[in-house]
Amino acid sequence: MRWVLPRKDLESWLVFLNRDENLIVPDGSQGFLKYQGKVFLEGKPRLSIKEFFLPWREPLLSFEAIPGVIPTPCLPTGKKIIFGVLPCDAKAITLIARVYEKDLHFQERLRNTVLIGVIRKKEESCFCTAMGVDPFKGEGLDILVLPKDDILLIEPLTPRGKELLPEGAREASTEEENLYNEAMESFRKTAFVSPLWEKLKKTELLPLYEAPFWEELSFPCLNCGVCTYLCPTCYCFDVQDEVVGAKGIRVRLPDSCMFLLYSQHASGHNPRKTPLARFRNRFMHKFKYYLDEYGEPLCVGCGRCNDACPAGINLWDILKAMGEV
Amino acid sequence: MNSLTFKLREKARQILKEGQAEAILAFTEGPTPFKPRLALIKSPEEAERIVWPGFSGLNPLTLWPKIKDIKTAIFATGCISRTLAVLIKEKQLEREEIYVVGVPCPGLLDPQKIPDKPEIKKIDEKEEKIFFETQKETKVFLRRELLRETCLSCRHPSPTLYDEILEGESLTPSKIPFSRVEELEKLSSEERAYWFFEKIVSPCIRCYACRNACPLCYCPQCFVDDSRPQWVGKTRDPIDNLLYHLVRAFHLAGRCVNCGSCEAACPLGLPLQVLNQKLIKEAFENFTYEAGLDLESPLLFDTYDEKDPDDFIVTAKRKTGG
Repeated sequence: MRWVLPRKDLESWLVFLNRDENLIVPDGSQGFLKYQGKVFLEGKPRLSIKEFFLPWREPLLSFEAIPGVIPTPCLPTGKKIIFGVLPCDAKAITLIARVYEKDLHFQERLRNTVLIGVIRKKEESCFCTAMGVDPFKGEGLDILVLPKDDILLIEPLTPRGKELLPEGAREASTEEENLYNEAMESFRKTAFVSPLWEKLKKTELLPLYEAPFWEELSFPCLNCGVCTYLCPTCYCFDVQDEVVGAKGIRVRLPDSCMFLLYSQHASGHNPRKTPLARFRNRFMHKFKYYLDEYGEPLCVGCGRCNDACPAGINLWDILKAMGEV
Repeated sequence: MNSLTFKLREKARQILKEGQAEAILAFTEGPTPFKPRLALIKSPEEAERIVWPGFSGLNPLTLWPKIKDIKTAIFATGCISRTLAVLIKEKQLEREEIYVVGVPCPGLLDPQKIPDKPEIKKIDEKEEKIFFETQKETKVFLRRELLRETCLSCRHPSPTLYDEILEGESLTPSKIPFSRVEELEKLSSEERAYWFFEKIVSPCIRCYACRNACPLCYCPQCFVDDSRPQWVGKTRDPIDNLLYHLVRAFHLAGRCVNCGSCEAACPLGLPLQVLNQKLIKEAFENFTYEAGLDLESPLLFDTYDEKDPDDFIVTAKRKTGG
């Protein structure tokens, strides 16, 4: 069953959601921040919600450099509600969750974070459907909101989502239910899942790895971390010790496979020394290794990488080349 | 077609046929009109892919380390030719290794300056006018409305170093090269610190696009990547972000040519070039030095003169004076 809230009552819903002062919203085109009365639902925020699950700095444990003293684990505390999540970003969290299945910190954050998705107008850079993502399915979300003219059509997807429905919401009439269904059907009619996945699952690994196209396609790449840091599905991390005197905190932070240091061994050897090798690894991970392991590509088609790449690299050029091997 | 694109293609074909170079490092058509992409063009037929960069602010010389054992030509605007001069003087490449076609630069454009960006199918530039073709209509903008901040502050739009030069008119050299810096200098030190934290330090995600897009950031191992000793923390802690940006800016003091590749590459659109411009201003005002204007004069840090100003050395008197 779906619910209806007049759009003018959105603010009072947000105030209600923020009663524990833990509401996060897209506050502008850059990314998600604590709710301060402003919410940006028109376009795609540059940064995804990934940082609330794999934060820029996650303390893992604290320690003292004294023999016999056992380190104390740190766990994230507090609950969060994130409103205005892009359905593709939420799907991305479900893809990461498979890899972080046994990770204490990630799972703790997953348990304590409610995600309320809002469907936005499809942008030119969007290609979620090609990656097999259906925003109307609301994977990973607790509530899905479809703004339609001057109302919000609200679909609770989980029990905890149901508890957060706005007080002023009423049950949707048959007409309003139809509005939702029509929007969903007309979106799904144009949806087209790329046939590449079935093909790539069957492609042999080595010919793909050794294909000659990598050289030309990786040439313009600067090996910066823009694509990996903006990507809602890239989950690689670095671990650092922040030490002052004899005390320290071990923290986890995002890392990028594009960086030379990422694959540097303590011995000095680096298995991915060339820019080409690092470039190739990113795409092989997303569209071969992960695909083989979990049956889906590690991409939700948000298009942020294509939008922001300073070198003008487009994921589809690489995908097409991979599909031709 | 953009008249500069036409000229570049014609020249590229000629160079590859006549053999002044075996390859050309140039922008080619990218996935969208805003995203031209660098490529190494090796045949006259491929030269048809070349475009004038327009909306890409990337300095092509940043890819120079990837080019090996092939005599390469490059189209050089003012800032690109100055970059080249700095690289040659710093012994990063030999003058003979590269064939330089000078291009009088009309200025590059900033996609962020387009008001409510429509879905653009095609972009055309004709002298002072920029045409955007959308599905329905053609919108016209004036070049100066869309010029990048770094181009607005450019003192040397014409190439300073070349083997041959294309005909054409370049942008008028800026009369307000340091306007962005001067705006900030008017503020109190607290206000400046606030600006720095709000505009650069806090939002920066440390993706290092600015460093990697900089052709003069060529250290084989950057100080941020050192782990023994570790000079700077790797998280987005404000102090570490601050240290990264300040050290990078200082490392480019007297070297930065104001190409703005760093600012263009930033995925968050942070005003990074302002830091470099402050140091360009210091070098200019204290030592009348501008990087990369010729191949003969020594590098800023290679010179010493007894008359050099030394009032930047913080003394007790200056400290109390603020």
